[in-house]
Amino acid sequence: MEHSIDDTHIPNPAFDPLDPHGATHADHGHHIASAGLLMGTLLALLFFTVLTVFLSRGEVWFQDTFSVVLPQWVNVLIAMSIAVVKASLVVAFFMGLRYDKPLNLFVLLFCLAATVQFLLPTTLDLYSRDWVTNEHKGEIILGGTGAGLDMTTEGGLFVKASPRPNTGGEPLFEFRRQQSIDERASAIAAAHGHAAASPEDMTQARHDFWVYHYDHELHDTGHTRRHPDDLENVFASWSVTRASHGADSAESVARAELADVTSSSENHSVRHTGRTLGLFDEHAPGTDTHADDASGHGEDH
Amino acid sequence: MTTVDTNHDHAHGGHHDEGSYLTPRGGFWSTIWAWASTVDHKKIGVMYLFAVLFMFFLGGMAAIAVRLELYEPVRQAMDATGATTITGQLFAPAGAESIDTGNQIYNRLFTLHGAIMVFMFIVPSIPASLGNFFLPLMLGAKDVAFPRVNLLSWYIYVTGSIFGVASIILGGVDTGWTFYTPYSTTTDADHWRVFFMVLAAFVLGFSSILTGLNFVVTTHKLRAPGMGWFDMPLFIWAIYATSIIQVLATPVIGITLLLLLFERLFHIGIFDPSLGGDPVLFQHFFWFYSHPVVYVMILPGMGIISELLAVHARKHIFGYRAIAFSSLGIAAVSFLVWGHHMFTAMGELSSTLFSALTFLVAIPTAIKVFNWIATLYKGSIALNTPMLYALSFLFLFSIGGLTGFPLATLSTDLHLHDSYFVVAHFHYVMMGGTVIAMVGGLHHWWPKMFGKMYNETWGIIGCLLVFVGFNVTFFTQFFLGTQGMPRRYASYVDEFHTLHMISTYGSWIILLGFLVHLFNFIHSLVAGPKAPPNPWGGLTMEWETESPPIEHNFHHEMLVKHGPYDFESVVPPHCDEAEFPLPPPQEGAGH
Amino acid sequence: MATIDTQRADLPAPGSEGHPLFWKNRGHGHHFRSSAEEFDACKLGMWLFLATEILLFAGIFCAYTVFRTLYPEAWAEISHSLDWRFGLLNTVVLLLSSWTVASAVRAAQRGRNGALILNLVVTLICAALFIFIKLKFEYMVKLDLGKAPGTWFSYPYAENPQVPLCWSIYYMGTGLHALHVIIGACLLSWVLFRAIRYKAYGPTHYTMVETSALYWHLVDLIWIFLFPLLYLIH
Repeated sequence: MEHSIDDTHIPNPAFDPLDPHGATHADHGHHIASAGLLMGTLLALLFFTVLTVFLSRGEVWFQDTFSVVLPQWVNVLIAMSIAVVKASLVVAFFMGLRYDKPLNLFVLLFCLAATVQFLLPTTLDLYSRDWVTNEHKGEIILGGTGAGLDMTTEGGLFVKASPRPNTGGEPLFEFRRQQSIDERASAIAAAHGHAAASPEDMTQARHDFWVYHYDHELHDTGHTRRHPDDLENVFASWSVTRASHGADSAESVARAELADVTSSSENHSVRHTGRTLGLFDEHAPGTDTHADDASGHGEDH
Repeated sequence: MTTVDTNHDHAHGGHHDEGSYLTPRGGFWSTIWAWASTVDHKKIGVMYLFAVLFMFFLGGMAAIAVRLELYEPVRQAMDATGATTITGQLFAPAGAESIDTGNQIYNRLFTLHGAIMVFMFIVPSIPASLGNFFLPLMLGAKDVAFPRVNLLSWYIYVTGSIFGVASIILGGVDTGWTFYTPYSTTTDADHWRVFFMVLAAFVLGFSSILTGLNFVVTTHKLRAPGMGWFDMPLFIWAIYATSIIQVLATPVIGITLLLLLFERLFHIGIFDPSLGGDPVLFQHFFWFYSHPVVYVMILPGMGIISELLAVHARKHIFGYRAIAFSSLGIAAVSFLVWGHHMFTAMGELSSTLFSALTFLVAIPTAIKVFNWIATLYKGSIALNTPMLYALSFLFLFSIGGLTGFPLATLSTDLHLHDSYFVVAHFHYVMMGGTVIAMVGGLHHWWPKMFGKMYNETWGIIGCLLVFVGFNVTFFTQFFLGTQGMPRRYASYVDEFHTLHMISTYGSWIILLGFLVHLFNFIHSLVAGPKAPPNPWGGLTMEWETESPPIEHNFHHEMLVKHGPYDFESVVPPHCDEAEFPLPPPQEGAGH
Repeated sequence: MATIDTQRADLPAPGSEGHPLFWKNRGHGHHFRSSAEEFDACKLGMWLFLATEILLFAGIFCAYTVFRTLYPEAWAEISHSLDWRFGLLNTVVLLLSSWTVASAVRAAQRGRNGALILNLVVTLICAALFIFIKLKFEYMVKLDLGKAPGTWFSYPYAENPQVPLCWSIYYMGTGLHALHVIIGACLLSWVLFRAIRYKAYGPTHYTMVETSALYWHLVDLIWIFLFPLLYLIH
């Protein structure tokens, strides 16, 4: 008879016909991890977490300070290597695979092998589709053109559930930008007492939009780096709110005003009525009133 | 076979202290409740059996309807007055103005046939019914490792099937069983039926995962004392390999269908190029599951064939280890080849890679077939229903496997893809392989499961009808495919009419064959003679117990003393040597 | 089967030594030969289940890899509006909870019911904290700004056409992970309930603690990869 991969089929040495339920076996012989080991693992995990964040931020600092661009694989390699080390620590000590039956480790390894086998060819195909002949390039390389977003869907259940906007075949992000500009224009028109936005209002709205965009979204360097006054920078909004209580310097007053306008964490509606007038109001899906308005649209980008 | 008795010594047979698992305890409603809340793997196996056979019936009806529609080409003519006449369309509503409505009904029919047969019948068919029933019995265990999880898996299966049936009642879906985007994200936009069908497949995946997980653990932990890995019956090896695939591949269909549902409901764009997504990515996701699952379908069938051939030819299986390892080999290779479903969608580099890898499948498969044929050599072959089904399997599966080569070859596939050649190929593998093996296995184990013998003559008649009908139906489709008949069309040019007609006649012969089996089984349950514990002289452990098995499977703690195929040296349990004589001892005999 | 009717009136009080759910009185399934074998089987079953969970997330990771390879600029834009400080905070919270749950298993193995309960409570607090941070400071803020998945996307200052798609993957990945956090917390709550009421876990019977802890560590494992992929790679 052959010996098997694991040996549990052999009549269990612990099996006792007089005590078939094993009630008197006080100890299964399982490994009990020591408290020091668990604590050490936790500290190592925390260390690696801080390390990976530190390296990532350091890389940003390095690139900004010395005006160099590191290749992306450096970033990916560092972050992923540390993640693998951390995962191994969790698996080995917290999950106890270091002391467990090898079978459970095999399960994990087979699963990881299957994951790799899933990821690699799929990515390879989507990345290499146009290497030999261009006709296979398809839409994937040019993805996001919004070409399919010009269909009006018939009425029914899914129209409510699926907010498929009619962008007139424009990419979605451009459509949203135009929507925002249009709303500014109608707000300006309303403030001036017009019924509809005039060309001057549109120009003003577009100007406002780009000023705001460059102030708050694209920052001094022109890169899309996080800015302290970023709309969703909750940490910055906290420090601003705190500073405004004991404020005496002109700068902190200004920051408090900014906080009121843009990033009050207590009341989001304040932010909504800031410089982006009506931007975040509820839109009824499918009620697209801007389809006719696309004439002057697109010249800004 | 010798068993070690740890508690008390009974003579075989004649136990009355512990009834069979089928014996009702209490009245009607308490029996119903006892079945509905059972954790007994045998009852769950039987419940699975009836559930999947019901689904097989539904899917089969859809198939018959599809063949009926294809009996004649659809013609649309307009006379001088402008009135439209439509001929050859079975399902068009009365007074239809164009062929579109009828064609859409046809699309729904073949989608239903595919979705029901794949997700609700063929994936759970053998593992969850026969596997559930016989895996613990063959291992000498009292139950599967997690009996309650087993019951949960059945309820999940039923829930998923109800969603599928709900989708049919709501009008059916026309996406094809593969749910390719953008069909599945844009068609029937005002209805929930696609949602329900996708949800059904998603839910059924959980059932599949739980069954597979349970079987892997059972095989590892609950083998009878003395049973090493290479003392296991080959059916167990096949189920084990199947379960590994189920555990590793099914979660991917879970996330795929989840993303598909989100895509459909909320339009998140992962499969939509207008937002930057890619429909072909869906195909990658889908086939990463659905190709391995092809082996979930066929591997248990192969396991059954190993059992049938050895028992009914009374020969030690030839190349035990080769067959066992080739099961694992097929499981491993199954994860490497999914791209051959997408040759026309992928780039050249990946296509070439996947084409080369696809040929690897032939190696373990051919190892099995050759070993089965070698097993038959000089065997004492009993031409009964299970054996005839096993021989049909060898014939049909070989055709199915070999016609895979032109499809795996990149250049010929570009011509043959999405043609009836593909349809015929996978029906030869899925139906000629899995369904044939399952019906054969059902005949083989029917006496054990229900304690009644079936009528052998009618069994053989049914088998011959199915075999002939199958070949008439699907061999013609190879010709149709090479001549250019595309799949999934309700109509076709007149040149294909004869072949389509023959194919439809074949489907009726298959139907007749299955009806013969059905009535044979019903007759057996009602009036069949009582089955002995071991009618075929099998050596695996399920034949040690009564027919049908007692509630706790065995009277004793089982201990393995011989291999599952030692027909040359062991008198089968419950049998005398006159019935199954041992061969005279030979020099170098045995294994 | 060791099915026990816990509602019977003649039973000793829950948590007392005589109650059938007290850990010393726990048997094993009739189809197992010993409770050690049952423990091994349950653990193997759990590892197989974890394998399915990893492959479930593999779909997300696959979509991430594919689209990151195809649209690096869009992803850079996404990473810059994900605040690494919240990612770091949540990582620390999850690592802490992983440690406490490992300590809970250790407490059960050593028969310290009080320590088991304490560790589980801390773990559950960490779970709640994680979800709170995720919802309050990440999801809600972003959704308010219109940084929503797919066609829900209404943020006017995006620079790349594929940004809505990238947000879809972000929400699918972190949302699925958050769902697993909730499921894991439910499992651990069940364990906590049984530990408090029945003193159900001790050196010879802690299968449920061990398997729930494994599940919780899996949640941690997934986050260990999601965190750098989403927040740190730019």
